Amino acid sequence: MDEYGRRLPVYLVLDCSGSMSGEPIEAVKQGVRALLSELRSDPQALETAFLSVITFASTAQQVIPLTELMLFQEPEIEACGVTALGSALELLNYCIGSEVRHSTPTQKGDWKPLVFLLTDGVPTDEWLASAKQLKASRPANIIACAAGSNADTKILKQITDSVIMMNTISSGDMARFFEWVSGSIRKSSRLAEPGKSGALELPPPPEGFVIIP
Amino acid sequence: MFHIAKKKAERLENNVVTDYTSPLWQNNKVKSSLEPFCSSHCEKIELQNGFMMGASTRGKKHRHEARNNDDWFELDTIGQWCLIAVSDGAGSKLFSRIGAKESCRSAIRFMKRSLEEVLSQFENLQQRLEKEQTDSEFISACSLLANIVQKAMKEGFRGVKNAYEARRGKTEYEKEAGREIKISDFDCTLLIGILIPVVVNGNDEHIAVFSQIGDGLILSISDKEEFDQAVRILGYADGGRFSGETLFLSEKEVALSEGLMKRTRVSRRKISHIMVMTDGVSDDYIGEYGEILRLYMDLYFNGVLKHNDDEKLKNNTMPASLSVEPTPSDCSKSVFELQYSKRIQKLEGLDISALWQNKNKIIKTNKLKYEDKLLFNKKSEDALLLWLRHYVERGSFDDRTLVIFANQK
Repeated sequence: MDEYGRRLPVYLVLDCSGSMSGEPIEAVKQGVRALLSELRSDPQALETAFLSVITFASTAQQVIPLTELMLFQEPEIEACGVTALGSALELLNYCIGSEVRHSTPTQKGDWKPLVFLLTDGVPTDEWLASAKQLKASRPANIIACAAGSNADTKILKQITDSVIMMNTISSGDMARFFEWVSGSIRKSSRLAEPGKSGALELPPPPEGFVIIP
Repeated sequence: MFHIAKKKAERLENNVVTDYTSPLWQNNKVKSSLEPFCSSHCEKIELQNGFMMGASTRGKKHRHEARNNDDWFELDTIGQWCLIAVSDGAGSKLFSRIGAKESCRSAIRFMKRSLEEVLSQFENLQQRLEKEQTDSEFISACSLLANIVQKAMKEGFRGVKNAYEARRGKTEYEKEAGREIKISDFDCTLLIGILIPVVVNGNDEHIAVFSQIGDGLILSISDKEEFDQAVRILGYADGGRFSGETLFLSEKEVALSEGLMKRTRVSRRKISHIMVMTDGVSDDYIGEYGEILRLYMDLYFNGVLKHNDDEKLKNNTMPASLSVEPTPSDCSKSVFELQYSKRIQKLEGLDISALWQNKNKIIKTNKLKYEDKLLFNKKSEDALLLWLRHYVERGSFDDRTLVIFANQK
C-alpha cells in the first residue's frame, strides 16, 4: 500500500447560522467532542477515519481540512449570520474533489466518503444547482439531518435520499445525533457494489428521530 | 462564497498509528453459533517439482468483532496439474462465508471432473500444450482448458445458489437474518484456475489458465528475471471508484459467455511462482508496476518461502520490526517479529528495482542474522499462516487468504 493508505473521509457540514446560537451550537460542540472521544477508542476508526469540518453561516468555510483522527482538534465554532447552504454544498463538492482519492489500477482509493449535514433552517442563498450536482454525481454518502421543525426536509431531499429529522434541537437530541454519527462511521466500511444506488446501510436512527421517506 | 482551509493537514507516520492501535485490537472468538467457520487454516500439497500451499485467516476487524473468517480456498491436483480456487465473502453479507466455501468447492469439483474426462478422451493433450504457441493444436488445447475454467465459474455460482436454496425457509437462518434470507446474503468473489507444467523445446514452463469475478489478485512471478519482466498479472480485478466496491459471483456475471471469456487469461511461460489472493492481501501491495514484488520479497525475507542457498555472507545489519499480536483479553500479549521489505527499502535508500536485484543477498543476511526470530524454521504452510496473521499495515484488517504455487525445478 502506498504511504497514504486507505482512508474513510468524513465531512461534518454544520449550520452555524444565528438561529443556532446559544444551546444548539453548544450542543453541537459537545457532540463533536463526544464523537471524537468515541472514535478514538475504535482502532479501525483510528487507522482509517479522516475528519473535516465545514461550517456555513453567511459564508461557508472549511475550518478543518481532512485530518486524521489522532491529530484532529476540536474546531472553534460560533453561531452568527444567515444560512448559506448553497455555498456549503459547493465547498463540499470542491473539498471532496480535491481531497478524496479514487481507486486506479495502481492506487487503492479511499472508502466512499461520509457526509453528515446538519441544519436547522432554510437556505438564504442559491442552493439548487449545487444540490442537483451532488445528488447526480454521488461523490459521497450524504446524510442530512434537519434539526428541528424550521428546517425544510423537502430541500434536504433534493441533496440526498437519506434525510432524518430531529424533533427538537435540545442538547439531548444533539448528543444522540452525534452518537449515531459515531456508530455510522464505525459501520460504514461495508462493501458497496459499484453502479448500484441502493440505500447506505446505517444503524437505525436514534430514538425520537424520524426518517423522512 | 466559500473559503477552503488555509493549509493541508499534517499526517502521522503509519507505524506511529499502528503502534498506537495495536493494543486496542481484540481477539474474540466467533459469537454466532450458526455454521461457525474455522478462524484460520492452512494446507500444503507436495508435487514432483515443487509444492502448492494456501493459508487463510480472520483479519483484525473480524477478530475484534467476533465474526467469522469470510474467505475460503480449495486446492487439488490431477497428477502434477494444480487446481486452485480462492473466494472472499462479502463483508456486509451474513452468510457470505458459506457462499465462499461452496463456490470454491463446486468450481474445483467441476474442474477436476472435467479435466479427468478430457485427459481420458485426449491422450495427447499434454503434447499439444507443449507445441508452438501459433500451432492450431496448441490453440485448441488452450481453448479447451479456458472453456473448462469458464464453466467452472458457472458451477461456482451454482454452488452458491444451491447453498442458498438448501437453507431458504429454515427458521434458524431467518432468525439470524431477522427476515427471509436472500441469495445475496451469500455474495462472494471467486478466483479459479489450472496450472500445468510443460516442457517446451527442452525448457520447463507452466501453462496458467485463470479467471476471476470480484477483487483480489492472480499473478505469476519469475524470480530469476529482471525487475521489469518478473511479474505478470493473470486476472482482471473488478473495482469501483472507491475502496470496497467490487462485483460478486451472480447469475448476471456468469450468464454471458462473452463476459467470462474476457475474464479468462491463458499464459505459458517460465515461472517460479503463482500467487492467488483475496484483497485482504492484494490491497496492501497495490501500486505502480513491480510494487507487488514486495509481496514476494516479504515472504522470502521472513522465511515463508524457503531459500536453499547456504552461501555465507558478510554480517550486514538489517532491521527487524515488531508486531504485537492481539490476543484474547484473558491472555498476556505476545511479541512477534517480522521483516518488511518496505522498511528495508526506506532504511537502505533503495528503490524497488534495486531491492529486487539485491533480494538474494538480503534473504541470506536475514537468515544469517534473524533465523530464530523470523519464520525460517517453521513448516512453509505454518509460516505462511503466521505471516498472514501477524503482518501489520495501517488500515489493513480484512480477512487474508493467499495460495502459492512454487516451482522448485
